[in-house]
Amino acid sequence: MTPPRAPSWWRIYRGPLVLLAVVLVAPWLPWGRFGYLVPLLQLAGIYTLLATSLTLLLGMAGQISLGHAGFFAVGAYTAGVAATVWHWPSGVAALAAVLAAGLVALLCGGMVLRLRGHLLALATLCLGVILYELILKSSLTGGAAGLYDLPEWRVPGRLGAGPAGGFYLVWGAAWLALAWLAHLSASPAGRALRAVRDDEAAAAALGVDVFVLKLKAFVASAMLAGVAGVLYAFVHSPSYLGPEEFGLTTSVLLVMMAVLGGLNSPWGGLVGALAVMALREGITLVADQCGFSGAARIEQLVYGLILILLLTRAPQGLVPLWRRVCCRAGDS
Amino acid sequence: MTAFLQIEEARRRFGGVLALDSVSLELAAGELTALIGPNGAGKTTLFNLVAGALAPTAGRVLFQGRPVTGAAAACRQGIARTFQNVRLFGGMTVLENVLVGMGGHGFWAGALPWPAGHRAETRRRRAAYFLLERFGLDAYAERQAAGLPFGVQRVAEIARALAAGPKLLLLDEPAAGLNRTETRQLELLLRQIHREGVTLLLVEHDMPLVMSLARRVVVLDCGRIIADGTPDVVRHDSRVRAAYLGGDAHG
Repeated sequence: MTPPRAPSWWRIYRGPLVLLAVVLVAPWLPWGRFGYLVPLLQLAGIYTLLATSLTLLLGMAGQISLGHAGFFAVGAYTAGVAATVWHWPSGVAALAAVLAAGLVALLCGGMVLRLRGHLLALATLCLGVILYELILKSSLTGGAAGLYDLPEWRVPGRLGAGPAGGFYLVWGAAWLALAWLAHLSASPAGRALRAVRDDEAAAAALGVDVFVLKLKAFVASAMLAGVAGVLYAFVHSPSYLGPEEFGLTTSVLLVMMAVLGGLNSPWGGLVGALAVMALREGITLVADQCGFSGAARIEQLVYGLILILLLTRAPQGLVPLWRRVCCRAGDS
Repeated sequence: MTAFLQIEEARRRFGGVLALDSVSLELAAGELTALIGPNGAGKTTLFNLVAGALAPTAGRVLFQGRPVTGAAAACRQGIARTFQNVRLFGGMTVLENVLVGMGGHGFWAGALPWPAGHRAETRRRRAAYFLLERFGLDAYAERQAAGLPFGVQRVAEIARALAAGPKLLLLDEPAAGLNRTETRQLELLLRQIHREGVTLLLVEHDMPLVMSLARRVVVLDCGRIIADGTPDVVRHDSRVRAAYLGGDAHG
């Protein structure tokens, strides 16, 4: 065997390149009567970004966060308040929002990251609830009524008027995050994160500053969630920003997406987010086709059942499952 | 002149238990020392103090004149260690395990794809691979660590510790769980590492190995050093015999 080299650029970046091509083409496909799916895919892009932030934190660094919707909220609301209440230019508001999410993570991470396992899960859960309650009770954020008429971001030029106007912005950001994670995963820093995940004491004995590294991963993850928040506020739903989207349910959903996709691959967040969104939409569609009126009621039930089934049949996530199926097909 | 490793009146308390009671010990560079003692004597605690994994309740640990302040800091100062129960990163390959010891962990530095980073990574991979080859582990380089035979994991853990380029290597019961052939190979390996200029300090229960390998044996009992000298001197020390016969008699 020859001495191994660093993974080639092609091996690291072929995935991101394929994804980029798909993203560029997607809005222009002949969607026909399924045109309503394009805005939905745009939302899936925001969820991809959020789930990917958890792939980084939970999958690579091994630290759970059950309060990630809180950082999503800090991003969305800092951007919203800065733009509508303080009348900052939207670009500055967006930058402030991402920094705010990072800052909150830095301050809270200093406290909660000393905890492990169940305690960390509980602490981050509380953090998410606190952030949610702050937004709900504050007069600045409009409370339960929310904020109206936020600045709307579109791709400049003629392209902005079409379906790609917001789609490209969201998926551009999601793509950058995924490409960055693919790079990080193959880098020594990604290795050090996995070392911390597997055994903190052994990682420390090999010169890894465990706490500092965990804190950096936490801050980076929160900033990604903050970016998702900005995109939600300015691109996806600029007419109205309310607190409904930022509760505990979303936090749990994000963990589910990351786990379902697969924690060991940088692509887990993408696969998980798309799978959950597709599942939800698929059930509604099938119910409508069958003329079944109680779709809304049974939807949650079927959705939950399928997720339980997937998690028990493929606990490593969908990415390894897909690889296994492909390998088997290649062998025969 | 500052000693290579100097432990001054180190004391460590766990709640009501005094695990180490003012232990003072000096090691010179290039020594090959074994630390022995009955179970619960405080050997692993002393190890953890030297490796920076625990802070002493009182007293201090100096390595080359500088205090040891934490596990990661100790590694950067040139102290590497293995663990009593092998602690490889199970989800990673053997090569990746060794690569963790090679450094370059900077999060923001690794965050962007610079060509220099790529070249450094290739250099690290080569070095890691040659290290594995030297240890006869190259066949396992791409295998996941968790599923490997125990003997292989032991040696891989030593290779991983050496990847950090230590001046002092702490080995916590390296022969535990190995059969006779593997122990013999381990002895040769440790001799070779010592010849290359690494100072060794090992905790070990396997007395034939200790007596043939170590030049100096330190005996710990109930958190105190009760004997310190060449293997022959220690073997005939009455207090050592009493400690072993009174406690755990398999020594």
